[in-house]
Amino acid sequence: MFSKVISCAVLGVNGVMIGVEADVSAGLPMFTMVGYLSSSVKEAGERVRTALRNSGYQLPPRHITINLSPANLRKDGSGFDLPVAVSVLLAEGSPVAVDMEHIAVIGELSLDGSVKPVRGVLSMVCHCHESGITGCIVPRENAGEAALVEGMKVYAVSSLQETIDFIQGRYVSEYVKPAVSSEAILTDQEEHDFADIRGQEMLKRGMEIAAAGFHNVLMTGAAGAGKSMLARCLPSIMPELSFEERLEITKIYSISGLLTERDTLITKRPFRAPHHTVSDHALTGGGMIPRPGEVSLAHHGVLFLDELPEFGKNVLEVLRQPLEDRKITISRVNATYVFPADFMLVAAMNPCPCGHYPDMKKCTCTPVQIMRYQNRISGPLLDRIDINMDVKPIQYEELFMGRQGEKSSSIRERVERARQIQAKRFDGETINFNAQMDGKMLQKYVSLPQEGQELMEHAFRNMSLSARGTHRILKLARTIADLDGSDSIKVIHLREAIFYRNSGVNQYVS
Amino acid sequence: MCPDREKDVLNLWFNNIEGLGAARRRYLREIFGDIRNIYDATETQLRQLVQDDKTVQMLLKSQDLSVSEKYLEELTKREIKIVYPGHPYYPDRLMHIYDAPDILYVKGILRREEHIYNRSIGIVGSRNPDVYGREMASMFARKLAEKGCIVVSGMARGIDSAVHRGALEAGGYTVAVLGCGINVTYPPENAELYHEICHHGAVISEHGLNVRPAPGLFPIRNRIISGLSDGILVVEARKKSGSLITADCALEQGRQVYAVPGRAYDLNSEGTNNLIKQGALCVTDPEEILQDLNGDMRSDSDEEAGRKPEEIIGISDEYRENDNDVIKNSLAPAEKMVYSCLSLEPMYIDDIIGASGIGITGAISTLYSLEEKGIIKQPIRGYYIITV
Repeated sequence: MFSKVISCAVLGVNGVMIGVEADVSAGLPMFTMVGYLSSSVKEAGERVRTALRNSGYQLPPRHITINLSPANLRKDGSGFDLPVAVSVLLAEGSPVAVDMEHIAVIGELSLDGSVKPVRGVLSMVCHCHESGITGCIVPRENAGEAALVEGMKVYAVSSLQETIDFIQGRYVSEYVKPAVSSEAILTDQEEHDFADIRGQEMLKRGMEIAAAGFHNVLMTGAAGAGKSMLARCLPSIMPELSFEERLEITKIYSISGLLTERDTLITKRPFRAPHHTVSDHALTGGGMIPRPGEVSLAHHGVLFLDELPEFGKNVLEVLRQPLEDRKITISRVNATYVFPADFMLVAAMNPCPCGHYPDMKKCTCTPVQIMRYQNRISGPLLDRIDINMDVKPIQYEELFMGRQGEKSSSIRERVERARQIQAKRFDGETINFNAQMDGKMLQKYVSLPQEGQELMEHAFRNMSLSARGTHRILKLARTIADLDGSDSIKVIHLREAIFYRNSGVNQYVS
Repeated sequence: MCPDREKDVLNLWFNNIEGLGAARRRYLREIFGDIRNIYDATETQLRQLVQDDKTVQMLLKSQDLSVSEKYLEELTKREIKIVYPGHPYYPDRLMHIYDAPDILYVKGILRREEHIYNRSIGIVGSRNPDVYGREMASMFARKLAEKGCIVVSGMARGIDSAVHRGALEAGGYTVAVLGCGINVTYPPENAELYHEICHHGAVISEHGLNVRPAPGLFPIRNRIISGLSDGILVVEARKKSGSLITADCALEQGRQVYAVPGRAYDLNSEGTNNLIKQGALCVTDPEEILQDLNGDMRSDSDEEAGRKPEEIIGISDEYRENDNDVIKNSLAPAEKMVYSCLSLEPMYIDDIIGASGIGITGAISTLYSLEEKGIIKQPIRGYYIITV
């Protein structure tokens, strides 16, 4: 007898429908699985047989064939255990009380018959919903994320027996969606607050602009000046995530297996700070069946690279494409995977190996050493950075006698206001922030007064800007004007944008 | 072979004999007088006249002039000229110093020092200077070049490079004395500067093609820097700096030594401050150098020429009131406020914001307009100084 159960797999960040077919026929007793399976899926056979037996179901001594279709797609992961088990039972003639054509089954089996959580449930359930599936059976641990999909009936199960009871109509468990109250998000306690940082007014201003318009930042300064601390405060002023953005981030974390049962929905903007020994694959995502890397885990959030020159050259260069395209494409023999990677790059570096330049009384480096150190960051990468800031080590007076800085919450209010202006501007576009504008949108949304055009022309010649550099200044100026609540970009906004841009003034050595 | 070319070849030959140093060359010159005589001398003559057997061996080993001719061709191809004592373009100032170079390789424009008032000033200093030193070096070079002075330095990193750049900026004539081969750019990052100097001044070296820079070569080239100058200005020097060797050479050669003062206890200016204590003239304005140099010359020929000393030295009221002053007087109130916060000590943007009290956006915008007017600049990103 033949049966078919619907399941789902993940390709990149998106789901793919998989049909799990079982056939039980006369012949030598065998359990065969086909359908371009990776070894972790092939092993499912053993788990299914044992789990069935331990749940009280004896497999008949007959020829059992399992096929996972489409057969041209390589299947990976452990989520097929449960659908295979269900499909075998159905093929044997087990009674069915629910509409199995519109219910997807996902889950891993343990030998004792209990159901274990799997990665990527959110992506799968989303895709199921789009494909017209109305319900899904998922492991209890994954029920929270599955329930995020509006209009999907989620049946949480914790064992094979429960699953069978549900299918046979003896037991109904629809997962009740936990309410994500808006209050819960607001009370998210940020560990770091800008008020804790004394002085460094210019840096704070730079961070505020960066957060408002999603601009990339590079901080250069002596060790201990507060670069890392500032970067860690950044999430506390970042604008709130929309529900769609949260879902996107949660999908990525779901695939990576980083969701816990409690945090089924990521509500905070991610802050990823990989160590500088990170490999290029860990950063971009990789593996035979690629998994998201740090750039994708920082999607809609901050990727903080401390000690930028210490990162491998090839590691830094792979950042260029995602910085421009806001996604990363990984090609493998089997398929091409696209992961979203819309992150804000925040980098910090020392100005020279000893860390004291430009304080020539303390700096022990030769000009060549300084130049070499700074040249480790390639021009094309620097070109993608909108806000360049030099950090001066803080003075004693500022540290102990300065006034307390502005609280993150009040900075965040301004950022939020600027974001709302941008949301209105980009209504109907695919982007949310000024920094994401492409050339076409720039023409549509950014216009300069006569005076500003003259200023830009002057800056273009004097700073030997690239076309990209010019565009980036305009986007930055737009953000500064938004923070100012101004409809048009004024000369002061442009001047400030150019001030932050100014990556050329660093070469005073020799 | 035309006589000039023959002389060139002979000089090249004499100065490139393997193992024959300056001392032996001087010795041979004393015996034979002209180089021609040395070359023409037979083995017996040499053995009779020259006491040192080694020297004779060296001379006998290299009697082939075709090598030198090829070398000269190679030099001509690279537009490198040679001058030697007796050559019309050999610098007069070097004629009178002890240990004058027997040959100089020159790339660029050679000028005869026709006018005694065409003053020549050597400016040297630290290879790793502060912003202050760099700015002072550049300012002195610029203003002296504007006055028609020849500005001499060593094209090293730091002060030297700032000096050449300053002189070139003013459209002046500048001379770089290298411590390595004439065609070797050292430090490598000065390649562009090297070519600039070749076009608007001259690069000079005692050493021929492809001589690698070596630690021993730099101190001895310092005597040429001071020799070519009427006075040496030391801008910024640590306690044990190569620039102090140049100052010593200058004193030995009877040149004036000037020093730009630094703050007490400033490590980067310890050398210059010590010079001042020892009697070097402390200068803060290029005019002071010209006044000092021309002060003792005035009696000789000025009166004969029937000119007022002021004309020659160039002190005039217009000079005092320069363009910067005009701009400074026409600043907007906010600009004045920001400008008054700044000095030659680089000031960090945060401190400017704090001191001026006009807010971040305002301060940045004001700094931008001041920078556009050219009266302040950003030597390092985020730090501002006034221009001098």
